[in-house]
Amino acid sequence: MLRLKRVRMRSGAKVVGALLLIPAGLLMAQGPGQTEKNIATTATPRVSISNLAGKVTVRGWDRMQVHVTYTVTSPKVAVDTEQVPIKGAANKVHFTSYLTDRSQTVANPVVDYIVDVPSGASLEIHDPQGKVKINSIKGDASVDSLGGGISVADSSGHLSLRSVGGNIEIIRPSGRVEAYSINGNLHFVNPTSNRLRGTTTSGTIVYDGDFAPGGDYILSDYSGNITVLCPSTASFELDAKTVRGKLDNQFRLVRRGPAGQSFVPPGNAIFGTQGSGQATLEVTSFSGAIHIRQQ
Amino acid sequence: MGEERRDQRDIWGCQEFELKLAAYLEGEASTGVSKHAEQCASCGSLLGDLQMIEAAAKDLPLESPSPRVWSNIRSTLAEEGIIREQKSFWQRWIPSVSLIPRSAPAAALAFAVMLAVIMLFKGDIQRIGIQKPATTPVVATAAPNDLSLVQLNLVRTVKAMEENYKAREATLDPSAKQVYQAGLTSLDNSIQECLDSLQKQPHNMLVREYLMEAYAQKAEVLASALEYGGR
Repeated sequence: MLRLKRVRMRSGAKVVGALLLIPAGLLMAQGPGQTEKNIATTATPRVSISNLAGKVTVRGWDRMQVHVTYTVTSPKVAVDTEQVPIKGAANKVHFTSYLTDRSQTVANPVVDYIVDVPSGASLEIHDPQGKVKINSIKGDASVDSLGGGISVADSSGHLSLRSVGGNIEIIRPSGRVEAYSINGNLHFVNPTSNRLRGTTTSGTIVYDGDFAPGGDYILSDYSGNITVLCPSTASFELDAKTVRGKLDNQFRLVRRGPAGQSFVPPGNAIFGTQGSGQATLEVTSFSGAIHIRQQ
Repeated sequence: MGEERRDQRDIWGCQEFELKLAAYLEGEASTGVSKHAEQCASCGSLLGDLQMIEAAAKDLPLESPSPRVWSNIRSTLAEEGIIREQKSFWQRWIPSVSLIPRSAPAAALAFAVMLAVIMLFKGDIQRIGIQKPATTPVVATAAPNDLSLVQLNLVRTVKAMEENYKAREATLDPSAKQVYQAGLTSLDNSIQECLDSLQKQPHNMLVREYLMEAYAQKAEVLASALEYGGR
């Protein structure tokens, strides 16, 4: 009898499994090819994309809808789409690329995504090996990559961008910005953010733009060069130092005695005020050069 | 009386059927089961259903649940207190690539990051005269022997993580390995350069800061690589 119960349970489990697989299958697309989907959302949904490799492009638009087109190139990769709640306007939408057989190594598990999202959406993107491009998003965005580059333009939320080896480019951000890399270059273009932090180990950092009054800017490098290009009318308080690199500055700063100056050779640190010193700019490097230049 | 005896016999037949059904479905020859199923509508229906399900189940594709399914299960278990999991910095960094159990690297990372955070926010907590670490340093020049306990633990953690990484390096796909290797090489160069500088200027706090930051970054990269290793 016990054995029968076991059989009945086992068989029942198979039935339940079969029933579960049917609706789940509707949400999964396997194998190579292009898939297109529309999902109705709220005005500020949270959209996450978890990819293995491939390009991810996200664009903000004025519709309360997520439109995704993804292209799978490997038969061993599939995409799982999940929306919460299941019916009605979703406030969370998740796209997950995954290997259908994790016991095997897949050489090129590429899925390319092109996603249109409501401009108020917030994003969370994980794409270890592929380029991520984001345009016109008002919500927060968090992007993690391993070797892929990250490019964000016209964002107004908090940006948290990380790539071990990829370059990070941020164009016209107006929200808080944090960009981290080890070997990648960081490029900030015309930011209006009042909180910005860029850190890389061996890449270069280029900051090209003005500073917001009251803003706080930290640029830190190890062996790469840092270049700050800002208008002659910029107003900032500068704390710049490099242990072994060169430091050049084109502004006529009102100098002050920098804290910790004794730890760097003479001429390798500047602490002074430009204009009325409304923004705070901290630039540090170990062996890379620091250039503070006028546009 | 005869009616009652037949009912009892039928009931006994159903019980016998049930007892032998499991073995029958698993391939054991039993004419009694099939014969009873032909005579008893209820048992016949049960047998038919089970055979149909069994046949259908054999045709079902063997699906591997997506990482999100595992993630949801893990979250649910954590919410119910069945398991405890600590979300690490690197789970936020590259969680999607974690397709292997990550408790060990995550714990190592959590430890390293905790140390880094303490180090960064508390500064040199307790400077003590400490003997050289038991393990050999990760780079050619030894770490300074006047590191705080926290800093020394960070150096040791990085060393342990690096050994784990070396053991798993072969499982990384070549492109990922290349990126990690480039990152680690940069950080090793930074560490070496800082150590060289500290030999000349042992009291240069700026160099010391760079050194410990490089160790903390190396811990982060190694943790990411360890999580990535199983894909």
